[in-house]
Order: sequence, then structure tokens, then C-alpha cells
Amino acid sequence: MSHQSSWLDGVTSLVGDASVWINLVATGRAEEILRSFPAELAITTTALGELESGRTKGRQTAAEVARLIEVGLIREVSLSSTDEAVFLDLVAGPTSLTLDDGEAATIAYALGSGTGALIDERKATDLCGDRYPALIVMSTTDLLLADPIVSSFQADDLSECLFLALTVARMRVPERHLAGVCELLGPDRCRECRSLPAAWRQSEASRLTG
Amino acid sequence: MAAVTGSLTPEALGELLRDARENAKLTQAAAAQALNVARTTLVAIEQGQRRARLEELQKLAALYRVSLNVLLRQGSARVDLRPRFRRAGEGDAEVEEAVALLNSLVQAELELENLLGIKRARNDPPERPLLPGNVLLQAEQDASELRQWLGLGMAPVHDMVSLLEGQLGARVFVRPLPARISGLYAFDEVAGACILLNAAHPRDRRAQTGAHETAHFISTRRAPDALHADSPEASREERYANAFARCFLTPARAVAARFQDVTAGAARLTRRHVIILAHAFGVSREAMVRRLEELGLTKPGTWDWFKDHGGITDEQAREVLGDAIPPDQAKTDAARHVSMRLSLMASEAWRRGLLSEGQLARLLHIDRVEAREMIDEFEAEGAVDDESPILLA
Repeated sequence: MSHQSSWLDGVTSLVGDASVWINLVATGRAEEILRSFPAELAITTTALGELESGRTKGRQTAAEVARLIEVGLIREVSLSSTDEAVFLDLVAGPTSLTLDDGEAATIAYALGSGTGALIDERKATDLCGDRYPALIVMSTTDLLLADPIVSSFQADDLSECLFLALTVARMRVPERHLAGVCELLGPDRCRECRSLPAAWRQSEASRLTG
Repeated sequence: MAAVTGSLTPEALGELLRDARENAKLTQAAAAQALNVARTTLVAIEQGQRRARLEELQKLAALYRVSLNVLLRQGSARVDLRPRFRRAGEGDAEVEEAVALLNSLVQAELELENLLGIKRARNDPPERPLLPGNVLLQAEQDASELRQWLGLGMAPVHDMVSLLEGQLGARVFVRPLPARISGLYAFDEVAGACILLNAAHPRDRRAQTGAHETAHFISTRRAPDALHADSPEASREERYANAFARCFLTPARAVAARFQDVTAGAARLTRRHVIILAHAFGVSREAMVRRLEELGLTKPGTWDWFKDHGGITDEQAREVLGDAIPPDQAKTDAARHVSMRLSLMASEAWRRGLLSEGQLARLLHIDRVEAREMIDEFEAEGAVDDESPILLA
């Protein structure tokens, strides 16, 4: 699994898990983000089905992703028979070594099609690191802090996107991005983001100054 | 397919698919039609004679509203209480929904315990199958025997749920149910006694339901029970369970003694007497008065008299008892998406990387954002850091 600093180099397409689409839609500016992003983005039919089930609870992600598929900014993809072995390997077995269908389908598709995977899920990321070290696995934060997005958005707008993803969708931020995200948010907003680690929320100001 | 059949035989996979189809209440013909195959093909898949392709497995899982991961993951105990209720003839839609809820709660709790290596202590009481003769007498004897076995003597039971969980090792869940359903009971060899109580009912009514289901645990252990507005009351089992609950929560001798104290010097039974007695035994005012009638401590028809004269209201109870009425914590807990106990275990399993966010959401029947909120709650209030005290065991 790779986390290069210039991770977008050579990446032409990425397949996102439900966890990522929930965060992106929560920013309120998913369409602008996708239009600014150079790589093609996809969602598996399995992950889309998972989002669909949220409609009954009034969640907006499925409707917005469906609209973005409609306008051609997201491609819906299905697993092929060649993805079968990886997918089944990820869903069948002991609970602690398996993933839910959407997460497994995202990884299986990424491996089968040679694309990168966007997943905001620690267990899935760790599992990819162990089993598929060559697979590029990135997070929503990687995407939001990627050069093309940073250069397309004003700092305040990007801060707002991060804030909404963190507060509305409770986005998880990988440790390597905590300092950068907290700096963009500022101490007051940082304190409001309950999905940031408590230590960062409480002492963000001192971390920034220290 | 090797991954699926590695430790899961085609027959076992077929059986899982068949159970999932039955739980989704679909016929083989309907499932075959959705899959666009002949019914005989579906039969062959369910019998493990034909290999299901990935696309077919995904279609079936979607049709049965389960994930393949839930269907195919191994190593955790599988409990399905639903067929027992179906066999017992519980076909009511609301009851079926409650049974499905109980099943999912038990399955989630078992799976989390297995993942975290928690060994739950079981303390099943001695079984007392129904004998020929007067079931009401047997109920009184059995209730008294259980009290002695638990070391309760004649003391009131103020927390039936804690008694069931702590002393009898039962799995008790208190969740909101339709008003007409009081509770469910089922027994599984792995999970033990499993009880679901209606959080929408007042605490005293839940105590009575809990005691009623305890009677089934004692007498008809392996037969499931759904206690609801249309439950048959005339069967020997139900008459036993109702009598057992009365005798267990309001033992004759204890009631008589307390009655003597409370009504000392009085010429009539007042609302105040009833309120104090009901509170002392943790039962409803109606249950208390009917028990007094049954024990000959007041005239038959006393409750009907109160009912015809304005009843005994909660407001009157508050006036008499004031601060003595404790808050109903089970009701507060039931208002959460996931109970505190399950939330704690689920968050810990996620923190240890044993469950992914998707698995956790699926296991607890919540969505991803709700799963994240649940995890954050414990991160905020119970975050483990280097300064947290180390547990000794």
C-alpha cells in the first residue's frame, strides 16, 4: 500500500468507498471538488447500494451521488468475474480479517482495474497494507488536501469543506494530516470537531504554537 | 469459490442462503425469478450441489437484505431465534419485527463478546417443567424456590432487569416496541436466555413482563414466548407464567406483612396505601390491588371500584412518593440508537481494528454517520490515553 507525497502522480482514476462519498457530500461542494480533481472517480454498485439504504433515514448522500453519476462526474462500476477471488477473500473468513461488502468491493475493484482506492476506514487501510502493499489507498483528507483542490479553493472555503465533513459526517482524519487540518480549521473550529482525536481538539492551540 | 468454501462447505453455504431466504420470507420460486434461473437451480445452490457465481451471491444477498460478509464471515456463533418463533406460530407482523430485533441484538452482542474475548457467566436456574395438576400452586412453589435459590428471601425485587442479567445470566434488552407488545423470551444453547422488554412501558410493567418471561425460563425453557395484547391467557403455560410473576414479585407472606404495616390503624384501603405498597414491591397499582384481592387482603372487585372512581393516577403517586420515584434509566438508554452496553463493546472492537466501520454499522443496524457518532462519544468521554489507569483484570 502506497502513501506517496505526490500520490496523484500517475493516478488516473480512483474508486471511492461509501465512507468517502459520505464525507465529500457533507462538504456541500462535492461537485466543485470533483470538477477540480484531475483523476476520474468511481463508486462500486455495492457501495452505492449501501448509500441507498441511508435514504430511509433522510441521508442525502445517495441522492447527491446519483446526481453526480448522472452528470458524469462519478462512474458507477461493477465487479467483474476476475475480481471475484479478492472480493470473496475480503468478505469470507474470520470477522476480524474481513470487511463489509462495500469496503471489500472497493478494494477488489481497485486491484482488478489498477486504480487507486479511496477509503476512510482504518481496518480496511491496515488490511490493504498487509495484503496488497502495492495498492494506492488514500482518504478523503488526502483528496481534499491534494494540490489541485488546494489551488482551486480559497483557504477559507477549504476550511469550511473540512469543517462540514468533520461535523456533519464525522470524517476521520489520518494522523499524518492532523496538523495540517487543524491549522486550516483554526483552534475554535477544531474544538467543535468531535471526530478529531480528543488530544488534538483540546490542545490544538498549543500544538500550533508549540 | 475456494475462499468461500475454504472452511465453509458448499452445503453449509447453501444452508446459510436458505436460512437467509426464509428470514426474508421469500419462496424458492421468487428467489429463482429474481436470479433469473430455474427454481431447480436455486434448489441445487441451496443444497450445495451447484456453485453460485459471485454475481448470483450478490444478487441473493441484496434480495435477502443481508451482506455477503454477514453471511460468510466465520468464527462467530450464529444464533437465529426467528425459526423458533415461526414454529411456535407467532405470525403477527409486529411480533415478527420484535423477534427480528431481539435476534439482531443477541447476534450483535454474541459477536462482539466473541471478538473481544468476553466470557459471559451463565447461571441458568434449575428447570421446573410443568407437572399435572394445579399450575397456580406449582407457580407459587417455583417462585418461592427461585427466590430461595437466588437468596432473595422475602425481599422486594426493585430491579428485575439487573436480577435477570446479573444473577441469572440472561441477556436482557430494553428497546422501544409497539405498545401492544410487552416482551419476548427465547432460549438458545449458546446465547442462553434472551429477553426483550418494551421500553415504552412503565418500569413496573416491565418488571412484571420480566418476571413472566422468567417463568418461561424456569418451566418451558426451550419454547419461545411472545407476550402481547393478543397472547392466549387460557393456556396452562400462560396461567403458570402470570401466576409465577405475581408470586415472585409479590410473595404472599411479604405482601401480608407489608400490608399490615402500611394499613395499621386504618379502616379502609386508600389510594395512598396502594401507592405505597405498589412502590414497595415495584409493581403497578393495578397488579398490587389484584394481588391483595387474590390474597384475601381486600374484597374482590376493589380494583374495579378504584377504576370506576377515577383510578389511581401517576400524579397522585407523585404526590405521595415525591423524590422516592427514581429516574427510569432503561428508558433513557432505550432512546439511544444503540444501548450503552453494545455501544461500549462495539466502540472497543472498532478501536482495536477488529471491526470496520461498515461491519460495525451493519452489525448494529445503524448507518455510517451514526456509527461514527457512537465511536466519537466514547472517544470524547472515555478516551483511552497513556494516563488512563490500567485495568487489573
